[in-house]
Formats: sequence, structure tokens, C-alpha cells
Amino acid sequence: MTALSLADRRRRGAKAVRTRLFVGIARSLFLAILSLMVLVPIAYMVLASFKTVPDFFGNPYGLPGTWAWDNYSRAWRDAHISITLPNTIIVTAVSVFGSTLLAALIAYGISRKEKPFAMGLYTFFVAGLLVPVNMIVLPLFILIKWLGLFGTLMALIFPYIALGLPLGVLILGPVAATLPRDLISAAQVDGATEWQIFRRIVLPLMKPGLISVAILNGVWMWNEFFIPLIVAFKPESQTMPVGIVSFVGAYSTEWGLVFASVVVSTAPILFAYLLMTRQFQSGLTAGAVKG
Amino acid sequence: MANVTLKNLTKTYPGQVTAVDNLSLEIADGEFLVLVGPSGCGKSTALKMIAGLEPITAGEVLIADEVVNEYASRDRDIAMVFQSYALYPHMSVFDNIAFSLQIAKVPKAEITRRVGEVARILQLEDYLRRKPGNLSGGQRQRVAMGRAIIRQPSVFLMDEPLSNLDAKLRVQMRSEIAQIQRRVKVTTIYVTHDQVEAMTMGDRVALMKDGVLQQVDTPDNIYNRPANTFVASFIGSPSMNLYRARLEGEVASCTLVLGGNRLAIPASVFADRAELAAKIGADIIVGLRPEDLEDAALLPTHPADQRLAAHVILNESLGSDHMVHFPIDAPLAKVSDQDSLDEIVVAEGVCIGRFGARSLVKAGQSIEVAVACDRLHFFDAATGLAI
Ligand SMILES: Nc1ncnc2c1ncn2[C@@H]1O[C@H](COP(=O)(O)OP(=O)(O)OP(=O)(O)O)[C@@H](O)[C@H]1O
Ligand SMILES: [Mg+2]
Repeated sequence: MTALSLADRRRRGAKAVRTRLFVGIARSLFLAILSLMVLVPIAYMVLASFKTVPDFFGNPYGLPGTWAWDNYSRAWRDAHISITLPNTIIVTAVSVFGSTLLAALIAYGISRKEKPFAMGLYTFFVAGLLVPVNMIVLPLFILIKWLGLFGTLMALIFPYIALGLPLGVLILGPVAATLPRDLISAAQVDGATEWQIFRRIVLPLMKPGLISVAILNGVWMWNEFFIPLIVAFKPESQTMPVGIVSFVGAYSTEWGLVFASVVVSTAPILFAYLLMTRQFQSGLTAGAVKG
Repeated sequence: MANVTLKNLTKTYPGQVTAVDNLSLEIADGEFLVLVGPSGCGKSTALKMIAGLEPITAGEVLIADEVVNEYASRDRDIAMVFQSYALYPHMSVFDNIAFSLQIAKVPKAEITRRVGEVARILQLEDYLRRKPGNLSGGQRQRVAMGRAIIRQPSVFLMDEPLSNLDAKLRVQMRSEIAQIQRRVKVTTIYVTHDQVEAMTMGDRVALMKDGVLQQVDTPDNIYNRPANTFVASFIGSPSMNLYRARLEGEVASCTLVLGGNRLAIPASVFADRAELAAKIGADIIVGLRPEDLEDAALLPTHPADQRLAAHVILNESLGSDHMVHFPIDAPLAKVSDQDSLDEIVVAEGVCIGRFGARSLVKAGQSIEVAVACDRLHFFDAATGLAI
């Protein structure tokens, strides 16, 4: 009987090993396909950025016949990357900083629940997620004109900060609500002003949430196309997404230059991701789990 | 240093919950006052109003004879130890203790010196670089204490600072806190629901129930002269035995009718209680502390008319003494909302006596219980107030 059950167990064990092997292979295959779906376009983009126009059309998928390094220097000049890249960096950095900080202030203020309309405010801010950009672009245009902000980066920064708030408040609201009330009280008793409490207690404790808001908002602000298309006409106040597109078809399209520009505009985000994979992942799940 | 005065302090939370009701207290400069009461009686709320962490509905808080109702916490010169400790999790122990000084822009060198001093007193020197998350409960508690004493405030407020510690550590920290307070002589209001802490730590004890102050007095007086049946049953472990009874006869030869038992009441009892004579013939509540009951076999000279006949149902022997349970056929006086944590009362009508170690009684025996009739407590049957 023992012998039988031993053999039985061994057979069952072998079966389990086979199942595990199969699951492992299936999973690897699945992940490999997913990786290819992400990596192939990137590889295509990078290769294309080194091709001359005839090369691009004659040999769209292979390696460049001659490596046209000057695509990059020409893009830098002719496609105004030298202007739009710093613009994009400034606009994104300021907008991310501004909207994250403001969202943190709002979320923390609401979480204190000292006013009866606190919950209503939360709903009000989060409802902003339901408003599509296309709908507000005309009033935005008028407002920016009225404020005299045309031609400045502020024409982008202000709307971006505002548009970043709904997501920021949505994520940081629950984070702020889990801050222990006693910690705030302790800081009050320790002599801290409201601002000091926010700076020294609340912000550090909300850090994972802040990172996640900064990442989620930062990515779309970096890539945002519609608002600069409407309010930024000249390269001086344009960001890369619009800069690149306005370059397309201005002459006969220089696809090599276009792809070089796209590489330059994608690189920072890719780079940031590679540098901070861990923070990205923990940041994206922060606020999803309570406490 | 400062005295603290509460005048008709009241707190009503939204939804008509009156957490603190007309609380008036005077705490002298340097005094250690323990605020005790069952869970939910409004102790924390009272403390938070003193600390400026909760708006005051009505009444006044005075610190150093100054009304501070409208002052922010930071302007009240107080330090508080929270039940949850409320240590800043992202800061080192050093920064936790130093936080208030950093906020006050005290020079770095002095901060280092003072933190070092506090760390030495509290034996935290080896942990200053650690984060609170990596400390044991007792160490966290000491950090919370350190954060309070480094300020050298005029008033300490402590909200059940020991309730998260295990029993042994609690005993140790209890005496440490009392010693620190005696040394620094800072006015202290200490909230607890532990009657042992209440009895051992404070100069005076204030007992609350449902937001209403029941009695403020020295621990001795609270124990020996409880103002009402609630105080009587809350303080003391096991609780005081409370029964409905009747006094018969006259002052010179009075008898207490306790169910089927009759106890002779010495005339000296009436001498101490002016109003008691008027209650002869009326229903009253009588209270018997367990330690005022003794195995009559150990007291052969005890007067025969001060004894109860009893049938033992349980004997919990603690070595040093015996907790002997026996039913008395008189109706038990129910105290509403009794919430003494160390409550051992097992069944209605059961009386508990604390007998000496040499007592030989066993469950199932019929015995005689000697009652120290000059040490009985008497309460009004209707109001529960002491007579
Ligand atoms: N923010 C609040 N809103 C409404 N009611 C509250 C609030 N805080 C406390 N209460 C109520 O007030 C009463 C007193 O609460 P409090 O926290 O002061 O009790 P406590 O004596 O400290 O009790 P414990 O020993 O359990 O800490 C309770 O009935 C409680 O439910
Ligand atoms: Mg409490």
C-alpha cells in the first residue's frame, strides 16, 4: 500500500513538474511577445532616425545603408529641437511640480475635514477627469489671449497644472486620508505652524503618492499635443510634439529628421523609466492599497 | 510651570454627542492629576480641549491664569504624549525628539546637547539614529516621553501613554513617569482607564463618567470615601460589593438588615455620618470592600453580631490571599455602566471577600464571615450618593 501510494505520489509529482514547466514556457512566450510589441517600434524608430530619405523609402525595415548621423544635428537646428526640447523640459517640470504640490495641498486640506463642504470639494476636483480637453480649448484660448500669455510657456503651464489636478487629487485624497490624525496633532503641539506641518510631516509621508502623481501627469504633459497646437504658434513657445508635427510636410518630408526628433523626445522618458523602474512601479500602485 | 483651570468645560460633537459635560477642575502648579474613567467617558476629549486640538463648545480653559480658548496649540506651552505615541515615522529618534526645538529655531549645538541629556535620562542613547519603526513598544513610549520633556513646557498632557505596553513594562514605566514628573515638577494631567495607574501615580484623581466629573480627591480619599456608588465600584479590585439593605433600630443599637443576615452597626459609624441617622428605617445601599471581609475562623474575637453566614462557591487562591466568592441573598445594587477592567464579579448576588493567606476555606463549605462593620460604606438608594 505504501509502495503504491509512493509510486502514485511520484507520478503525481512528475505531473506537477510538467504542468509547472508548461506554465513557465507559456508565460515566457507571452512576455516575449509583449516585449517585442514594445521593442520593435522603438528599434524601428531608432534605425529610421539614421536613414537618409531615399534609404528610408528604399529599405524601410533593414539597417541604414549609410548611417546619417547628421540627421540629429540637422533636427537640432532645422526642426527647432534646440528650442522645443528645453521648452518641453521646462513646461513639464514646472507643471508637474505645480500640479503635484497643489494637488497635495488640496488633498491634505480636504482630508482634515474641518469644513462641511470638504467632501463636495473632493468630488468637484475629481469630476475634472470627466472634462475632455477638446471641450475647454476654446474658452482656454480666449482666456489665454485675455491674460496676454500668447507666445509664452505660461500659456501651456497654467492649463497643464489645472488639468493635472483632478488625477492628483484623486490619487492623493485617499493617501492624505490615511495620515494618522495624531501625527498632525503631535506636530501642532510641538509648535509647528500649518505650513511647517505640511512641509515636514505631510509631504514626506505622502511621498509614494506624490511620485505616482508626478509620473502619471508627467508622461501626458510631456506628450501633450492639442493645447500647444492651439495656443503655441511659433517654435519659441512650442513643445516637441507640435514642433515635430509642424516639421512634417513643411518641405518634402525628411523622415530621417522626423524620427531623429522623435527619438530625442522619447529618450528622456525611456531613460527616466530605466533609471527608476522601482519607483515607477511602486509609485503606480501607491494609493491603490490603503495604508 | 503653571496651574491649569477648567471652568464648565463642555464639548458637544456634531450629532449631539456630549462628550464632556460641564467639567470644572483646578490643577495646582506642579501637581500630578490623573483623569480616570471608563472607555468613552470623554477623557481624551477633555485633554484635547486643553491641548487646543479640539474646539471648545462651552466653558473656559485657563493655563497660568490666562484664558487660552482661542490660542493655537503651539501657543499654549504644553507637551502631549499620545496613546498611539504619534512618532513621526520618517524621522530618526533624534529628529523626533528634537523636532519641537528645530521648529523653535534653537541653535544646533544646544539641540544636540539637550537631546543627549533627554536620551540619557530615558536610556535612548543607543537608538538615536534609528527610525521609530525599528523600535520596541517600550522604546517608542520612551521616545514619546522624550519628545514631551525636551520642551520643558508648563504642562504635560498624557493620554493613556502606557496602554500599549505589556504588563511588566507598564509597571516599570509607571514608576519611571511618576519619578520624572516629581523631578521636573511640571503640572501633569494624565489620562488612563487603569485604576492601578490612577491610584499609584497621581497626587489627586479625577474620576469621570459619561462626560460628567464624579469626584476629585486624593487616591486615599477616593478609595476610602467614594462620593457615589459609581466611584465606589470603579475603584478597587475586586470591586466593592454593593447591596440594597435597610437600617433598623436606633443610633445606639442599630442593625443592618442585609437579606437574611443582621449586622450590628457601631455607634461610631453614625458619628462620622451626620445624615445616616435619618436613614434608619429607609432603604439604603451598603458597600463592603472585599478586604473588610474576613474568614471568621481567623478572628475568634470578632463580635458575634458582626458576622455573616455564608456558603462558599469558589475560592480563588492567590497565595498571598484568597478571593472567596459566596452568595448573599440581598438584592445587588446595580451600578449603571460599570466598566472596571479588573472586574472579577462572576454572578449576580455573589459577594467577594479577600481572606487572609492562612484561611482554610474551601468551595462548598458553610462558613462565617467577619464583617468590619465600622468600615462599611453607605449610599442613598435613590441617587447613589454617599451618605
Ligand atoms: N470626532 C468625534 N465625533 C463624534 N463623537 C466623538 C468624536 N470623538 C469622540 N467622540 C465621542 O465622544 C465620547 C468621548 O470620547 P473620548 O475619546 O473622549 O473617550 P475616552 O474617555 O478617551 O475613551 P477611551 O478610554 O476609549 O480612549 C465617545 O462617546 C465618543 O464616541
Ligand atoms: Mg481616549
